[in-house]
Amino acid sequence: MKAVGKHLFNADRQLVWDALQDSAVLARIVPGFESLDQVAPGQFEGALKIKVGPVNGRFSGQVSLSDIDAPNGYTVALKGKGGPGFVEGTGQVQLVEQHNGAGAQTELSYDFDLKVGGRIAGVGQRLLDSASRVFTKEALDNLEKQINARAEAARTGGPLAEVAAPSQAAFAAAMVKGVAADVVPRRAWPLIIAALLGTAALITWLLIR
Amino acid sequence: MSRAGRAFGQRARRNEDYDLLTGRAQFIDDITLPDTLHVAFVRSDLAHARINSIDTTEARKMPGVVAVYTAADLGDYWAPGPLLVPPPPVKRLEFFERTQVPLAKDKVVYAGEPYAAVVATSRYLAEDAAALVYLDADPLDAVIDLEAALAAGSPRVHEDLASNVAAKVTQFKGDYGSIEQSADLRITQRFVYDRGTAAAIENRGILAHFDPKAQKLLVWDTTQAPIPIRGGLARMLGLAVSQVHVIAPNIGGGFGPKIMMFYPEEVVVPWISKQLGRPVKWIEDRHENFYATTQERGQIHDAELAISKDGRIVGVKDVFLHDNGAHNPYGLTVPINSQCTLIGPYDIPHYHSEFTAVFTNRVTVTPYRGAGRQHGVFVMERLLDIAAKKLKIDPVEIRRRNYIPPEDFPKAQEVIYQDFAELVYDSGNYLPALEKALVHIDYERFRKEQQPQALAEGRHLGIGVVSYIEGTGIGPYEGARVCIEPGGKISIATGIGTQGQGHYTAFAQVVAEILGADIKDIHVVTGDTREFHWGSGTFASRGAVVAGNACHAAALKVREKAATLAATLLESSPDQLEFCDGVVRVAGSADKKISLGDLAAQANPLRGAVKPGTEPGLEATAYFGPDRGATASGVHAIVLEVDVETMMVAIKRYVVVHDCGRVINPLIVEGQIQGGVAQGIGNAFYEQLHVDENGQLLNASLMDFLLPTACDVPTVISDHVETPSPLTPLGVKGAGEAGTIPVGALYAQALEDALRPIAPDLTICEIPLSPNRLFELVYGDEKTSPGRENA
Repeated sequence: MKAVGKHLFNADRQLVWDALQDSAVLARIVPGFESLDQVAPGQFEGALKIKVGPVNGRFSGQVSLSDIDAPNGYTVALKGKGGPGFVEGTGQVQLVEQHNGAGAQTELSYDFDLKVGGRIAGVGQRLLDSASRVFTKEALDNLEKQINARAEAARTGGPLAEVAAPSQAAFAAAMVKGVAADVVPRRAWPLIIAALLGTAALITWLLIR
Repeated sequence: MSRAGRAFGQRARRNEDYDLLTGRAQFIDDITLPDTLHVAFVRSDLAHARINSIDTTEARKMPGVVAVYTAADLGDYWAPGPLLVPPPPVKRLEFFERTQVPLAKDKVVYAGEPYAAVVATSRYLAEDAAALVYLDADPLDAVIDLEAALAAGSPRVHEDLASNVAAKVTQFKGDYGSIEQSADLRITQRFVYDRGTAAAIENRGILAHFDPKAQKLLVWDTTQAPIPIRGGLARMLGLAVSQVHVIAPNIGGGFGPKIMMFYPEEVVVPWISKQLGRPVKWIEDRHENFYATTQERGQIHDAELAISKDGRIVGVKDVFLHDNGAHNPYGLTVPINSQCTLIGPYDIPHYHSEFTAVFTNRVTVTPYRGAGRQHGVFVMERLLDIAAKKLKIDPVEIRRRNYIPPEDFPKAQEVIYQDFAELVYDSGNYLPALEKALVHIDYERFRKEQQPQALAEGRHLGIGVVSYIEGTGIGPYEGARVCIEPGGKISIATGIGTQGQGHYTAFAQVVAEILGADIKDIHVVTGDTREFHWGSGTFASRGAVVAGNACHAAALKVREKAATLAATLLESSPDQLEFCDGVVRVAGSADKKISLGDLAAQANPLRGAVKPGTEPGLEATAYFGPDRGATASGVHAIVLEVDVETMMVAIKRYVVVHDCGRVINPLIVEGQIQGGVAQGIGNAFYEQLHVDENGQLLNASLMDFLLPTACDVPTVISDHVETPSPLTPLGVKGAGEAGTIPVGALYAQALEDALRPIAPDLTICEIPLSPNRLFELVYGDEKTSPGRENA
């Protein structure tokens, strides 16, 4: 499975780079991290408990960074496994700084080749592509909140505002919404809404009859 | 033509249906014993990997966990399973035996292979703990593609073998090489058949109870072969056979995967019970079934047909690869069946067939309803369809021209069949079944009126008519014990297991016919080693043929005993006696009679003296083993309609005319056909296991692995031709697999016919199909069908 995409942060490249090296930041971009430790430079180990639809269980894994070219990018090798199956693969992360009138921006681009196996592959296949896309987007959105907080602190010289990890419920809700939008064609939404309203009207009528 | 008797041949309702339909029948998970422990197997996510270590520390600490076992804990008990079917005596055959192991030790060779067993007080707790068993393994490249598996430098499933070749077999009849160059027309084509799973309603399960005080092991197992399971478990566990009792209760569908013997769970669960001295249960869940139960059907055929201008077959050459999965405990049964069944009902003077069985990192392949016959039939029928089109002969006519004529039987085919004997068709008469099928499907009117009319309305109807033969009723033998009880009931016990075939009725009809009893008074016991302990099992459409004839032989012996005694009591002679309505009476004198129950009581006096040599009771045991299998045959015909926008298919009419020799009960045969056709439709158009290049199954749920529903399966119009088998006293042949075998070939022919107006060059060479796949075959890479707006 390929996972390819981009995300634009309103911060300079060094700040984004530093955030990506900080396990305290990374541990808060998805819910359920039980631990995430930097065991050596560029080597992380962690355990994640996650409940998103059929993917429910505890993952443990390692992430190692190589070809480190600070602050431009690196190669990532990741390996995670647990009750629901395994994910492993490698990819590239690159940071490119851009300037416009408002100040520095950094575009993060990623390109991963992933192998997925076990229950996730067997049962979740139908949703796997969109789920991974939405998962990545949610994680990057959360990363952006932390980077914004850091950028704000840097700009004002004030204290770094604490940004909590998203809750399992909020993350799962965002996943469901994202995957549904991805899987169900946009033009079908009026029909689905009409059907839901119709069902609700029918149930109401049955109840008050 | 039917020679129905009072009971034999009657359309009797099944004795077992009341219990089955009202939820009273006992299945394995209905059986609960006090203090039962439950097992969750921990299965590999990786298809191919070298095991470094397995860490069970955390799992052992979980609440409710009693034990966690890995291969290391099994000690000397750890051993590869038995080779169930040795290779048949074909000259120059190569065979490399690698059978499954109880728990993976050094390597895992398919995704789903178990490497640990967690035992806990409930299945929930066992599953929770199973998630905490950690496998440290180095992934290896997976062997998935059959052709790549044979390429030099391919990773090997079994590294101690030189390659992934599991077997190579060549068989021939006549000399194909001698006619190859001289044939009017030669057709060469590749055909591909892919995997599915049997998806029985009831998954597998096992409940084992070793009682340390009695020193006895009682096992309930969803097996089609309880007697071999008992013998094998006794040997493995170091027990006497008499210490082991195996029961196969009602089973919700066998279809072959439950004849596979000594699945890892079947070996490990009884061992755990013996270790812990408590009942231990494992019930396979649906997700697990996709990884833990054997599957079938992956083959690639490169076939060639040599045929004359007037459509007469001169010869066939077929070279194929067979996907063996990770192990080959079932030997060569499946590919040998493909090889032998390809010949079909046709007179093929020259036949050359060679196959290579290939080890892959996938779930092991063992027979699944049809057991390789589908592939052979698909190849042969497709070759004839292609030839008919090229020679501009009607597809029905080309079959007519090639049938073996009735006077040619018995017909020796010179190749060795799955029962190790030369394939000889014992009997057959193929044309009447074809003509009957054409009448039922209304062939002429369809071609002349219905199809053109529908097309004028923009509807695409297609018709298909295909033939097949089915080798059934193979040996070695089965036995039965028949006993008339003093209460007037009659009991039958046989060793085979029952998975819904109607044995409780069919065997009762065989015995009722001889003893003049009502089938409602006959109680049949199957699959309980205490009740009957000799036999092989339920497979290869052999229950009615082999066990049925054993019941017949035992009933004749009981009748002889009863007649001898009744003749004394009624002051008559045995040949003057009639058995009917539950009594034995002297022909012509209505008052001289005795009921079977009273006679049984007289046969077992509790005081007084008997003549030396007298055996008590009206009971007898008999065995039956045929020289070879009986060859059944038939014709399937279909009219279907294709929606050319969506490629969805609706079946308009489905006809099966089957010849399984003398019919014991037409209702049961029709039920077998109907169920078989449902499974065949699934195989042809719905069910396909998709794996990626790493051996990961991508549709491991019934949401993504589609089974046909009641809406997709029509009521089959069944008819019978009865060509009795000369090999058995009853003249019966098997009917268990007939419904599934030719459905892929039938779909292909009818779909091509329906789609001819929009895709005249379409040649369907693969099964399973699906609406998606059919769409691709017809429209290529275009994203939309004609007449549909671009989205």
